[in-house]
Amino acid sequence: MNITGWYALYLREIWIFKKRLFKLSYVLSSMVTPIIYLLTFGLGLGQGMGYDGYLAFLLPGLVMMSGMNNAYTWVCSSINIGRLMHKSFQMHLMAPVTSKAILIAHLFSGITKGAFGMFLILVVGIFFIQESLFYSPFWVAMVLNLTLFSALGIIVGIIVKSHEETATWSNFIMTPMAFFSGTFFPIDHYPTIIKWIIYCTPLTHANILARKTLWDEQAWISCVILLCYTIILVGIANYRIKTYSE
Amino acid sequence: MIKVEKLYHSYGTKEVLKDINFEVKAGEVFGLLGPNGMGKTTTIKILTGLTHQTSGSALICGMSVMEHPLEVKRLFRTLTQENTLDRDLSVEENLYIWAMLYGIDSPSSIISEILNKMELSDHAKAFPSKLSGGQQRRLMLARTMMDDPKVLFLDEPSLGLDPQIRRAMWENIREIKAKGSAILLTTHYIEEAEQLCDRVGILYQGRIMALDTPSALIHALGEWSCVWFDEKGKEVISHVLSHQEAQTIAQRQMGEVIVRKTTLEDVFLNLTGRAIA
Repeated sequence: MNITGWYALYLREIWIFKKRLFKLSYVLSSMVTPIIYLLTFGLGLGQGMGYDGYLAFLLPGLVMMSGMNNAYTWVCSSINIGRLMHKSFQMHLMAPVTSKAILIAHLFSGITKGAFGMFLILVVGIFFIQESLFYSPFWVAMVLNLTLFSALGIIVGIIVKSHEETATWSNFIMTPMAFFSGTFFPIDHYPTIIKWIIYCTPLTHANILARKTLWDEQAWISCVILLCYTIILVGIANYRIKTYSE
Repeated sequence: MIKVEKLYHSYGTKEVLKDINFEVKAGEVFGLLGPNGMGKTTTIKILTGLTHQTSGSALICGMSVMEHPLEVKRLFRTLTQENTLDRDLSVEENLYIWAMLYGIDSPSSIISEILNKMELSDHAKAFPSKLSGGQQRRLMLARTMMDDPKVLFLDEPSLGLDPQIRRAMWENIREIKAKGSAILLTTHYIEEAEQLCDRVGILYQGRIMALDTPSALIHALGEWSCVWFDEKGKEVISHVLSHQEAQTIAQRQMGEVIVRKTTLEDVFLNLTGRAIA
């Protein structure tokens, strides 16, 4: 597998990301929404509903949701703005690098940027939670979650015909998934039919796996489902880059 | 170095390239001359692998662009019409990423050398948005000049540049040519084609209407032109081979007749029935 050149593209993404990070407004705005969720749902609603350890339930979900949003949004924006506005994506396609190198660069940059978003939530959440929440299933869920949503970001970034079109994907897929996939409430609370629909989304399984303390049967099932999603989406993303034609 | 044979391309039902054939040799500048929307950029996109042609072949150094994309991409560099610089990276960083992408060894020394050459050394740490349009264009050309490419695609290289900067860019292009690169240039500036191109292909509505050296195309039409207005006020142009013939025509006409040298613009007008710009 020839992936020469992936590091140049990855470095480019990270340099651009780093420059945005130095703007305080970026870091603060990335943290605002999850902190609001943490405070309103965790400290407000959760305690009012009488859940014991609701914050311990909520935090892994918020971390996964934040990782999903960050990985997807950063990769999708980078590709579709580069493709439709700056034409830098086309310059990368004209460079002597394989589609796999471009794929790996964007996957790794999505993982890095998404992990940073997750880290911010963890830093805030850790103040509220005393016990350790993060066992090995959590880290596996994190890697698979970041990889598959980075791949989705690549696919959407390539197929949208305008920057505005990405909002449609966010509004109809990402936002409902963030709210319904067991981030805030256990999915058992939903009616059966809805529960089965929700059970099909990757974020649901990222949330299930992230909350596991050991590798029981349900953890393995969620892990396999996440792995399948990852393989399929990475495969489609690679195909989209490889067959890109204007 | 570049060979295009029986190239056809359609976007949906719209046929944008019809039976395109040409060849560009090492050390030659070949110009595709034509107004916007006639298929010049599409031809470059096919040759750079960005667009997959409907039929026909596009070869670079004997290798098919479609079948050996990676090998072919190592051989060419492209200057696009659009500003493709990374806005969030400095001038230096833009060049560094490019050097890494193209596997250029010891990029730091090459970067400082090329910045000097393009008179951008003082702007090494600046962001592209702080540069003038001409400087941004020079930076884009600098990227393509970091190593000596075998093939160079220049899509409207001096688009939007003022005459002075345009001439400086022409000098840079001549330098690249002198090193033996095969250069395919698209333009709708007649002067650019006359100044730079060893041969031109006149592209109109997806077809190459004529292909030869600028002087041969002009000679075939007639090296001298007489321009006058008929009784209805319509412009009439007559092309003749010699200045003497032109003078004879001028003397025969009643009103004012301008006698001047024929240009590629006349060739274009004669072939297509419309002005290039």
